[in-house]
Amino acid sequence: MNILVCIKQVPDTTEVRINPETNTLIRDGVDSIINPFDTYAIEEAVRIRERVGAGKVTVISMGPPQVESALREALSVGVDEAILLSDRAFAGADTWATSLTLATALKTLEFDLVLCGKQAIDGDTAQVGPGIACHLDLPQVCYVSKVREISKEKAVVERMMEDGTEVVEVQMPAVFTVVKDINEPRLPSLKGKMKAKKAEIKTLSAADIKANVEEIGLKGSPTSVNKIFSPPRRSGGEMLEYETAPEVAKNLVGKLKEMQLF
Amino acid sequence: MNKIAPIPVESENCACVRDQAEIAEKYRELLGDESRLRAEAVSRIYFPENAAQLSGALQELAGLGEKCVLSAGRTGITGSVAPIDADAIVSLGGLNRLLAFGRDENGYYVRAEPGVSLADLAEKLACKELDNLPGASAEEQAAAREFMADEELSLWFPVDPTEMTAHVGGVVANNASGARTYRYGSTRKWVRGLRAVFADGRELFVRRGEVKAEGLSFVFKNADGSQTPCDMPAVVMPDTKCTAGYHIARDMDLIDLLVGSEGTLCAFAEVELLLTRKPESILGVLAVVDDEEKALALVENARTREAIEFEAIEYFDHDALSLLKQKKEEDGSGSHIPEIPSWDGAAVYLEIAGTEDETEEACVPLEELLDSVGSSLDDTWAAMEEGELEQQKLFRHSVPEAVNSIIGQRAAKIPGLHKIGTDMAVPDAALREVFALYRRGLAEAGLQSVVFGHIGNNHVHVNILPADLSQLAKAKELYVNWAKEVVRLGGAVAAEHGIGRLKKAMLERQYPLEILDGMRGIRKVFDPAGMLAPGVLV
Repeated sequence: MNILVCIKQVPDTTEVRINPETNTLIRDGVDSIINPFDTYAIEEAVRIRERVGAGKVTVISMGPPQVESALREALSVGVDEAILLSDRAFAGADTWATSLTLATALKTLEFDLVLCGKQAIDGDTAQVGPGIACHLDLPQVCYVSKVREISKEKAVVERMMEDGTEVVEVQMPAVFTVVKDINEPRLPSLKGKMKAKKAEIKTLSAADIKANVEEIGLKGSPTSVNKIFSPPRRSGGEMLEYETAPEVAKNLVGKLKEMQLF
Repeated sequence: MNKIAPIPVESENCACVRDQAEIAEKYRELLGDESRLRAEAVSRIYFPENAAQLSGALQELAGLGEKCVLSAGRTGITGSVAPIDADAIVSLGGLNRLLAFGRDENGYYVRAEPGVSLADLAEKLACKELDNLPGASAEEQAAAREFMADEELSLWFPVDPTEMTAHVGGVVANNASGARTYRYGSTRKWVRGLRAVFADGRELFVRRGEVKAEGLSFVFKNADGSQTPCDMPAVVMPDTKCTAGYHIARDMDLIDLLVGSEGTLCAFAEVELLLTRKPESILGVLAVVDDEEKALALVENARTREAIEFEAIEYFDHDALSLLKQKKEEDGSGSHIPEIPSWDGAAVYLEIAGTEDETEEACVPLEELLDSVGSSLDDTWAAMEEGELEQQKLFRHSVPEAVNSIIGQRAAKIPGLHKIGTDMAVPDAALREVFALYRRGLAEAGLQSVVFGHIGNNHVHVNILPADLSQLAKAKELYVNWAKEVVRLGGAVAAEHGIGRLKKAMLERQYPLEILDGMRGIRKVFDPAGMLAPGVLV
C-alpha cells in the first residue's frame, strides 16, 4: 500500500511570543517543527505500512528550501521517501491554492491513501486536507481517531465527533485527516537519523508537477489575510455565591433575564 | 604563608519578617525543602538584597545569639536548608542579579548573586541578555558587548545539574553535579571566585589561586593583628565524585574548601563561575541492551574507546524502564513520559557533542560500540534537535518522579513510609563489584527497586520502594551495609546530594571519628558560635 502524507513546517508555538505593539508573531529565534498533528499522520502511515507488510510511505510538503529539515525528521521515523514542492510560484498561497498545488503534485504519484493532520497549529483552518480530497475528487474522512481495517479497496475507520464516535466504511483511495488520539508517534532511532541525514529529497517545481501558475500561489488565492491579532482578553466574569444551590440558580435566572438571554 | 583577612563591612538594615502569622501564611514554603523535612516555625526571616544587607542580617543574628539556615532554591534533597534547630532563615532569593560577564586567559566567566537560578543563567547566556550588568568593570562590559555581538559564540555552564530551578549559590554550596559531570566534573572546578560572608558579618572576596593552604593549614588574620590557624585533618578523599564532608587536600585552595560546605562555613554573596563553549551539536542516544551485564560491558567499552569522547553516560535498569511504562499507562494520555518502545532489557544513555561533522562522524564508532555488546542502532532513541533533547531529558528525569509518586501513594496509606535513595560512587575498577553488591542485597532482602543514574562515574542511584515499614527497616539496614562496602571499595557515601541532615549517619561510615572531629574543628574556626546551618553536615 502506498501512502502519501502531507505535512507542514510551522513555528514552534510553545516558543512564539506576540509583539505587544504590533500584535504580530515574533518569529525570530523560534524553532521550526513539523506541525504536531502531522506527526500523528506520519506515525499512522508507518504503522499501516508495517501492518500491511508492503508498500511505501512518502511525505510531501510545500514550502521554502528550509522545509527540508522537517522532511528529514519524517524520514528518521520510518518514512521511505520525501518530496519538497518548492517554487517561487507557490509563494503566498492560501488554503485553496495550497490544497490545489498539493493535489496537482499528488496526481503525478501513485497512492492508495493520503493522510494529513487535522489542522496546522499556525493557521488552524483545517481546510487543506479536505481541500486536497475535493481537488482530487476522492472520498474524505476527517478527524480519524482509529483505523480499524484497511486494504487497497476499502477502509473502516473511526471518526471523532463532539458527541461520540462515528464508524465509517470508505472506498479507497481516500483522504483522511487524523486527530492526536489516533496513536503516539514513535521516537527516532539513531539508524533512522543517519538514514534521514543521507536521504535524497526530491524537489519539484511548478513546472515539474505541471501546475497552472495562474491557479497557484498568491495569484491563485481567492482569500488573503488582512490582519492577525490576539483576541481581547476576557474579563474575569462574575461569581454568584449564595448559601444554597437554588439561591444561585434563582439569581442566575434573574441575571440572564436582565440581560435578555432567558 | 597565605593569610586570609576577612574585612568588616558596612552593614545595612535588611528586610526581616517576624510576624508569625505572616511567616506561616506567606512564607510557609521557606520552612522546608525538597527533602520534605520541615520546621514548624522560625522566629524571623531575613530577605537581603545585597551583600551589605546579608552581612547586616548575619551580624544581627550573631548579636542575638540566634542560629540560621541560608535558604536558596531549596532543591536539595538532604534537608540542609530546612530550618530545623534554627531560629531564623536568611533567604537569598532576593540576591538575584547577574553582576558581570568577563574573559581572562582562562576563558569566560560570569559573576552572579546567589539567587540567580540555573534556568535564568542559561537563558541569559542563550539569549545574550547581558547589556545590564550592575557589577561589571569597564573591561567586563566590553567583554559582554563582544560576546553579544559574536553570533558564532555560544557559552554555557556545562556542569548541568539536574534541577534547573536550583540557585547558583546552592549549586556552589553543594558542589552540585549532573549527567555531564562525566565530561566536565562537578561544580567545584568551575568556581573562579567567591564573595563569602562569614557568620560574624565580615566578608572576603577571593579568587582561585589567591589563598592557598600551607600543607593542611590555613591562617586567618584578625582585625587586632592576631592570627587564627585553621588546621585540617589528614584525610584521604575518595577518588570519585564526592560530597561527603568538607573537601580537604594538602596545599588546597580556600575556594575548594568553601565549595560544597553546605552553608556551614559562610554565605555566598557572589559566585564567579567559569563558562565554556557550548557545542554546536549534541547527540543524545538512549541505547537498549539485553541485560545489566551487557550494560556494564557497554559502559566499560565506552570509557576506553578513544574514538569518541562522551559528555554523559547514564543508566536505567530494567525495573526503571518497567516503572516508567507502568506510570505512563496509569497516567494515560495526560502523561508527559514519552512513548517507550517495546524494549526488553536495560538502557544506557550516551551523549556526544562537538561540531555537526564530529557528531555525525561519531555514529560509526558508536555503531561499533553497540555492536560490541550485541545491540544495534535500531534499538536506540536518538535526539539532536533542542526539542528532542528536552524530551530525552524529561524521560530521564521521569524515573525519580515516578518513584516519588508511587511511594507518595503508599505513604498516604502507611504514615512514615518513604523511599531509600542511595547516592554512592566508587572508582572505575569497582563498578562490577558494586553492582554485584547491590543486586545481591536487593535479592536477599526481596525489595522492589529501580537503579538509574550516572553510571559513567560509577554513581548510580538505587531507589528502594518499600511496601511496608518492615521493608523500610530492611532497606535502611541494607543501605548502611552498602555504605560500609562502598567505603571499603574506595568510594564515597554521598556523591552529589551532599550530607545535609539526612545523611549524617552515612558520613560516619565514610570517615573515622577523629576525621569528623577535625572537620568540626574547621567549622569552629569559621563559625565559632555554631550559628550557620545547625545540625547540618558534621
